[in-house]
Amino acid sequence: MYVLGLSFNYHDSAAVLLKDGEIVAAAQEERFSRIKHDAAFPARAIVFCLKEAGILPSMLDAVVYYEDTLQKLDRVVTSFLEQGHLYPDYLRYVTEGWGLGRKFEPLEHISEHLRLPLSKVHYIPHHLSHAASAWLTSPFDEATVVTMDGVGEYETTTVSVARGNRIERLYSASLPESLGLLYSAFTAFLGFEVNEGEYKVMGMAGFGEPLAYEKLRSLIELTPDGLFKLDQRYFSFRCPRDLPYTQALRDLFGIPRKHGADFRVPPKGQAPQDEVEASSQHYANIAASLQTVTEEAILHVVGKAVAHTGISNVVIAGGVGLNSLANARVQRELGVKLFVQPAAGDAGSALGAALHHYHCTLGHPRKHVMVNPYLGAEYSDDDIEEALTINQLKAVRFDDQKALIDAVVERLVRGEVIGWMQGRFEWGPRALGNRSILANPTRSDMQAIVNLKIKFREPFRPFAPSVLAEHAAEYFDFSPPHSPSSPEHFMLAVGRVKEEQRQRVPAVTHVDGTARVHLVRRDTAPLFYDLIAAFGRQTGVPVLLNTSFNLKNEAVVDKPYDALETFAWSEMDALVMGRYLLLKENFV
Amino acid sequence: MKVLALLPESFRAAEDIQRAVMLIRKRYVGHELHFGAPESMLEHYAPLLAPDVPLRYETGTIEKSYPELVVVIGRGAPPQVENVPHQRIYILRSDPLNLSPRGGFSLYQPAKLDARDNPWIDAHVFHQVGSRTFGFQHFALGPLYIDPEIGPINPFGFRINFDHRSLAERDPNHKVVAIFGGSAAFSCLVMYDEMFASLLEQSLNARGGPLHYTVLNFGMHDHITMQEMVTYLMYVQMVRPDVVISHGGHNDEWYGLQNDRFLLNNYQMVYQRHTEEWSKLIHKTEHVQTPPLFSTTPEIQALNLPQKVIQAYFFRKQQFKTIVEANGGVFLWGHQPLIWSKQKLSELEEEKRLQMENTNPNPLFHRFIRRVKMLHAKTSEELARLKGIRLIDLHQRFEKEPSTTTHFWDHVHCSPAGDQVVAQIYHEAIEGLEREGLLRAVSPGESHREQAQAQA
Repeated sequence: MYVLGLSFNYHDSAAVLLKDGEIVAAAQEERFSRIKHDAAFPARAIVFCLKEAGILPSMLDAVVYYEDTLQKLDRVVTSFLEQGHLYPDYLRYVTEGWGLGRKFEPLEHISEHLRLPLSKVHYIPHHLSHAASAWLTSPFDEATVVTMDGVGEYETTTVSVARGNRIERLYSASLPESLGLLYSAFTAFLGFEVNEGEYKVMGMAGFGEPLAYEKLRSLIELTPDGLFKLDQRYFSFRCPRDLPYTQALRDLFGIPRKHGADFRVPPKGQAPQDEVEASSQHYANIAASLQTVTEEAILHVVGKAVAHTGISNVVIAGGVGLNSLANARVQRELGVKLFVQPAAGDAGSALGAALHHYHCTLGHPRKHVMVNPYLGAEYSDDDIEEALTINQLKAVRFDDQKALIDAVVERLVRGEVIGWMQGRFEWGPRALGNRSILANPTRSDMQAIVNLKIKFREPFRPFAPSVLAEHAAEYFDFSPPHSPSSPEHFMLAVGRVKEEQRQRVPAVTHVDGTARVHLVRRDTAPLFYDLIAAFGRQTGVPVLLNTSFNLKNEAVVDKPYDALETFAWSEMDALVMGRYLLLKENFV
Repeated sequence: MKVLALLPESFRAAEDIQRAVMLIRKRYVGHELHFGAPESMLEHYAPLLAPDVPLRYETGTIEKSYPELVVVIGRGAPPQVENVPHQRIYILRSDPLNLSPRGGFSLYQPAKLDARDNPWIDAHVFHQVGSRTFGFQHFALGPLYIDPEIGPINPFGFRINFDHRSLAERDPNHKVVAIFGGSAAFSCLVMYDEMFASLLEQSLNARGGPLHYTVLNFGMHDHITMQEMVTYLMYVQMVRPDVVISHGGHNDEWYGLQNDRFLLNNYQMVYQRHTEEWSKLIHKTEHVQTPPLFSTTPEIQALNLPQKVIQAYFFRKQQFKTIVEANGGVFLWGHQPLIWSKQKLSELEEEKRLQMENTNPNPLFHRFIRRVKMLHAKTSEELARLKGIRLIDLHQRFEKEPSTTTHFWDHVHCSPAGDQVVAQIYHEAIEGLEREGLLRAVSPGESHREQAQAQA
């Protein structure tokens, strides 16, 4: 039985195909369209999924959309009726956009596109998609299910209890009470793009002290029912015009940071030397305060939820689930076993929609546990050779895998930066060793090199360490993994780099002493594992700096030509695609 | 002739209106010129027009009695006019953010150009069978670009106001500089006497001395290096210019990124993308799928690798250099400035940059623009490593230009102030050639042949 799950129309559109409850393929549209966070109908992702399964659209038994459009429209209209005076054009603006994008009729859109009867096309509510995506791929027999994001139809936060193929909703919060939108409002305030810059805020937070904590904390009340209330005088979530915050927030926190403003903070404990340092420190302090308050709120929501259910297995989905700092605190401070679905944002809802239909609607028992996140497209030697030939590029082909690893390790050891493209691409926003840029973590200059010369991004962005799972505890303090599905396997939790090891892995140690650890296991990523192991044998450090294979503001690469192009534009020294090694000097 | 110039209901800055008024006055010297404005704006315009006094204007009133109108467009909607048949109407855009692709007057009525605007309108068969409007026109040897409303042009659309062939026989102390390039060399947003070719000629000659310079502008919209070469062979070789300035980069990069990969990678060929569409029209092959042009649809287009674009560009430019030098000219390789060349932009430039980088509804266009920006900088770096060329890297030179001046009116085309800087940089380069003895005056009694030998 084939079930296709789809998310599209708002952000991060994706397609996921199940065969008898197992995931055959899962991909975000952005990988194929090359438009980061592409929200368009995921036509290319669907083609990929069907091709991967070797089926035609007519062979699909069901297609499930991740949201209830009528409920969402109802929320838009209700918001307008109640707050339209703040933005009289809001309803026209939204409905025009919906009309142009066919957002009123996603099911009809699906039915027409796939030439399937409408009776085969279904939908489930947004937060149920999130909940299903986490619960039905988790390793647990029962769990407390928490979803948190900007907003779905009405809901922004939900708490459920799950057993078998049943997810029972216990309580929820609705717009305008939204942790996701709180974080987004400050993302915008700090000069970043909403739905894109949230990671940058997390990175920036490491440079600051939570000196604005009291102010920020005053904006949110953590209520005894396990939820929260935001002081709505400071936000504009229901009928937003341009920005999700009001003048009151500006009055409280001062002038918003200008988009693209220089960022340079003074060394810890030293006073700012100029205007740039002073303002950077100010905004970093706000980011740190936001992060602290958000973590507290998440701990409150999850803690109360666990107390309510009495179940200390926790699964989280929704965009807030990508807050790896918070995830680490949830594990550490609440002592729970945590599972976060790797594509915790809206892309993951496509997975949840499909799984919910198969298991919860049709009643099939649970079977899939998310251990392997490599669910995207894969390319053959022929594909790679074609990309090389058309550009008259000569690469060295290694038929012996050990020789390839040795060649790459040699380059990494001497400080080269390598583009690494292998096998199927990852599900979710994290590069987990199949579409990665790799570098030597032991060099203190490597963070700056990769940020500025390779990815052309902000200098304050940290890099993750990929470490052999069995050696991780030597370098990092983090909650012991409960299973191969724990968040560290998907780079979704932050640990502290051990004090005594910070000098050994400076390029992956963030300014605050943390690192977003990625545990690598041989059973799920054998080649990547062997590469790190070989690097470890050479250097004594079984860790690699790992960042996603893309340039700033661009989607992570999919096919060989994308890898070639990204390689060509950046200052990477070498590119490995499958068994082929291409050097930068081959371009001349 | 009586001319009425109608000023807009809103404008960006007084300087924009002052420039529009200056251009109108210059154009209609010796004519009976009146300015009109909506009543609400009379007070605003009075000081800008002094000593002229603006007339109160309402649609359908005074405009009918004028045989010629100029409608100035500001930031908002244009003034409404009730035009009468046989009335001649020009549009003049005053807002620098809304100029591209042309900065001066444009004919609105009649719809077709006539001999008054373009004296060459019937000069050759390709004009006769062309669209007789502003813009690109098919020609036997590639496209021409016809824009006679921002100053004089020659029969092929170049901004040259005399028959340059007369320069073939010239005094040895009369030096000819020929400029090649795309619309930035054409100086498409500024008037004839504001373009850097004119300014360069003025400044070189203003020094006095035995040498006299004529600067010819063979810049043409959209030209890439291959077309510069063709232009040289067709129109310029005959006058053996002493100096050739190839002021380009952007178009080779812009099109190189998008061109057919086989032609680029194997034959270093770059061409205007829209010629693919022309081919489809001629051969009725619209059904053949080719990557669409960026402005029309958000379809995917894999862009070419930067190294390949740069290789093609360098190969063609070197080829052009060889041809010029074989004809006794000095070849100056100008790497043009773009808005991103400046480290700090003026407010207006910043507004334009954001408009360029962020407002196109096609996100892939933003990616493309980022690539163009990166490629231009990368080309500059690679150029610095090239041996045996006379490089004038205006991209580098503009880096420190102050934010107090607006040098660009869009991402590639200069304002009059920008063209002034360009002219100054080339002026210095030519003075450098003089110091090297490559452009030296012939002393009385010294023959042309002797001079040529000395230079060689």
